[in-house]
This record gives sequence, structure tokens and C-alpha cells, in this order.
Amino acid sequence: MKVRPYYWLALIPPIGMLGGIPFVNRPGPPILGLPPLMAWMIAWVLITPIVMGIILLLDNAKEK
Amino acid sequence: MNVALVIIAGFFFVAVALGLYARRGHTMNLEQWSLGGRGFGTIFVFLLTAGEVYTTFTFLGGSGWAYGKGAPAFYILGYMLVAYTMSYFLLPAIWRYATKNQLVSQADFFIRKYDNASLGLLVAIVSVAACIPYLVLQLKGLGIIVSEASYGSVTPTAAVWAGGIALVVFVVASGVRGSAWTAVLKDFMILAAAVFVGIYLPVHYYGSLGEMFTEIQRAKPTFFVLPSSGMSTSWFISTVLLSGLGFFMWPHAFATIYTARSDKTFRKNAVMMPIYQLILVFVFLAGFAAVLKVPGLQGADGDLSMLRISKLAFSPLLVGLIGAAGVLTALVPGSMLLVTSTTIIAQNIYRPLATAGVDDRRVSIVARSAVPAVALLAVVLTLRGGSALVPLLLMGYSMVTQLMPSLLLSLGEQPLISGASAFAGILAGEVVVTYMTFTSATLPALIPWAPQIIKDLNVGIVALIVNIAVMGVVSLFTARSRATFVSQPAT
Repeated sequence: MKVRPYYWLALIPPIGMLGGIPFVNRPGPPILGLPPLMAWMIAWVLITPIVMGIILLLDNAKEK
Repeated sequence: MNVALVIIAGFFFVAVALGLYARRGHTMNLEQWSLGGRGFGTIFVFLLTAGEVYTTFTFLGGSGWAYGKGAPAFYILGYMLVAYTMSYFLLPAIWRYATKNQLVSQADFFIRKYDNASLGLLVAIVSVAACIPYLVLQLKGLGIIVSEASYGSVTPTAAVWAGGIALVVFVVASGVRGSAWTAVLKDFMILAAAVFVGIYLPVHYYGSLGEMFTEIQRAKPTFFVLPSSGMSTSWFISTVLLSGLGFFMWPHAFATIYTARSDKTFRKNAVMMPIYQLILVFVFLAGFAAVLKVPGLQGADGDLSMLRISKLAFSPLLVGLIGAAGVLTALVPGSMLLVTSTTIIAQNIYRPLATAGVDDRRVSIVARSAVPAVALLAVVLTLRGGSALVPLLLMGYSMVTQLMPSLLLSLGEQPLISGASAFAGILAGEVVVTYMTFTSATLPALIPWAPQIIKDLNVGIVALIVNIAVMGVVSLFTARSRATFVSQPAT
């Protein structure tokens, strides 16, 4: 497999999500009504498909 | 006979009928039975993957962890994100090699890549040893769900037998096609049940999500924070990474890769699957809602929290639908585990050990004949196993994760290590996993002098380190012998 430069974007979800844990691991204040850690994890559930979607679009454009 | 039971039984029979219908128009040879003829499109591969991820463990365990542990439960949201991100790159590579070489099982991959039959046998044994406790867990979950949701009118024992028999019927007939078809119904049901329960319960009992969290936090101020020792941030991060890296090493997840028609499937799924994790958020919400409304469920009984609060809030009709969704979350992964483990038994244990030449037809017959035997073993273990189950499942998870380093090192044109190194590394890793499970070894006991952040690491990391270290040491020797071999030109 050829490693294209934008493949490094795939490191954003794991590193971002896990790297931020110590900072959001607090009781409050709530984010959109949710405990901070839960809101953080849900945010990454939503960001991950966006990041992977960008990689897919770039791949599709390249392979056309 | 109550309404809930009628509904559960109805869905149960529809699922089996779908499983049987799945075989229509296909001759069930080995490739068709084990791998759906390598012809599944994006949707079936998506549903099979969802079938592996969202099992009874999610349904009961997800709400149970939310109810009993609070913040640590969020790791379940995170680890699949790691697995999906990786899958974008990993799965197409595995698919291309497997399809080109017409591989049938995960063990086949190791045999072909490393050109080493003993390694294949080791991987096969690890696969079966990991699959069976997972299957048992599904049946156990099915028993709990049916007996709870039918208001006790069916005993868990009866439900486990019924589940075991249903699995045998449609798995023998349709193989993985049966799993894919029942998965259609399962995913629709679980999605509807989770979203409904997860939104309705907090709003009904607390007014809104925000108020629910405020009330829980008033009663338990540290419930939504990872503790400073034990299930701490260091535990959380290491567990997310280990479980995420290990996920696609499950033999049935690996076999699902082979069922795809094209490698493009995996890229699309890597984008779509993470969104599906939101189901878990709703399952958590149901578990949280139960914290103050059905207090007092201790330990493993926490797994009942979602069903208990549902029985409190809903009519038997709705409880039956939730129960039916739960039953389907047992049947789909259960059937996949049965197909995969019997395929491995036939292809990678029976075939190499049989004396006479064995063709695919023979392997297929042996695999399908093994289904009732494996199912019976699983039923007996479910009914007799007791509480030893969860440690066994965790052991299964750690066992399959040991396959990861040698798999990654084999993905290039040539494996970066020898078959002997892979064998030694995996074997060493498995020995450590087994030893630590049976002695209940923990890091704080092994290294009491280490800082807390190290002590809280997921204990599976120890086995992985030993695995890689042994692999490296053996490589030093085998690499040298290969060099010697090369320097002596054949005459």
C-alpha cells in the first residue's frame, strides 16, 4: 500500500480523542447538558466519520 | 402466556425463517456457506460488522456498565473508533491477499503468509478457544433477556436451549448468509429499541437529559469522572487502544472481510460505521436512567438494569419488542461465531490432520456436522459455566489481540519476520494471557513499586510486550540462519 500524505489525517481521531481525556475528565460544568467526558466521546464519534470521509474523498479523486 | 412472550417468540421464528430463506438460490459449498460466496456488497458487510460489534454484551453490558460503573463505560464508545479508523487501511490489504489466494479462514492467512503449517494450527486453536466463550456469552445473554422480558414465564435454561437449537437449524442450512439476513432484522430492531428507550426513559423520569445528569451527579458526585486509580485515565486509554487494535483479530470479524465482493466496501464502511456508535449512547442513557430509578442491582445484576427499568416504565407489548431486539443481538453474532469456529475446526484442524487427501466438499461437510456439536458444547457451558464466563471472554479478547503484531508484520510483500518468530511470539503471548487469567494476576500485584499510571494500564499490554519481545529474540536467530542459507548457493 502506498502511503499518501493525507493518510496521516487518520491519526487525528485516536490521538485527539485519547489525548484529550485527562482534560475533560472532570465533573462539570456540563457541555450541552452532558457530563464533559461523555460529550467529548460523542464529539469524536461525530468527528471520526468526517475525517475518514475526507480521506475517502481524496482517495476517490486520486483514483479517478 | 403473556403479550411480551408472544412477541419475543414471534420475532424468534421470523429470525429463523429469514435465516433459512437466506439459502435460496445458492448451492451451499464451502465458499458459499462460510463466506457467502465472497459476494457481499457494502450493506451486508456493514450489517455483519454491526452484528459483531453490537452483541448482547453491548445490549446488557453497555447499559450494565453505565449503570454500575459510570464514566468507565465510555471506553466502549472509543475503542471501535480506533478499530474503524484502522480498518480503512488494514481491511482492503487483508481482503486483496485473501481473495487472490482463495483463503477461507484467518488461520489460512497466517499459513499462506508465513508458509508455516504449525503456525496455522496454533492460530486455529487460539481462534476456537476465543470463539467458544464468546458464543457462550451470547447464549447466556439470550437466556437472561428472554426470561426477564417474558416476565419469568420462560426460564433462562429453556431459552438457552431454544436459542441453541435455532442457531443450529439456520446455521447448518445457510451458514453466514443466514447471519447476514437475520442481521437485517436485528439492526432495525436494535436501532429502534435503543433510540426509543434512550430518549424516552430520561425524559419520562427526569424531564430532560440535562436534569437526569444533574440529579445523578447530586447523588453521586464522581459518577461521570474516571477515578484517579483503578479504572483511571491510564486504564481508559490503554483499554481503548488494546480493544480497538484487537477487534478485527476476532476470527469471525476477520472472516467477514473475506465475504466482501470488493475492497472498496471497507473504505465506505470505515466512514459509516463510526456514526453507528451512537446506538451505544442511547444504551448508556437507558443505563443511566436506571441508576436512581432501580437502585441496588449489584455486580453482574447491573446488566439487568435496562430491562428492569423498561419493565417499570413500559407495557408488556413494548417490553416484548425490547426483548425481541435483545434476542436478535444474541442470534446474529452467535450464528457468525458458529460458522467461523466450525469452519476453522474443519479447514485448519481436521484437514491438515486427516490422513487421506481432503477436498473442499469434505471440509464443508465436516464444518456443518460440527455445528450441532459446538452448539451443544456452548449450551452446556452456558448452563454449567456460572460466573467464570466474563474472565473467559476477556481472556478471549486478549488471546486474539496476540495475533495482531505478526499480522501487521506480514502485510508487506514478504513478512518482516520468520514463521518461527511469529509462532514463538504468539505462543508466548497466549501463555502469559492464560497464566494471568487463571491466577487473576494484576499489575499492582506484579509491580507494586511502579507509579499508578503504569499500574492502571490494561493488563493485556503485558502479554503483548512479552509477545513482541519473544518475536524479536527469535527473529535474531532465525534471521541469521536464513542469511547462512542464502550465502550457500544451491548447486
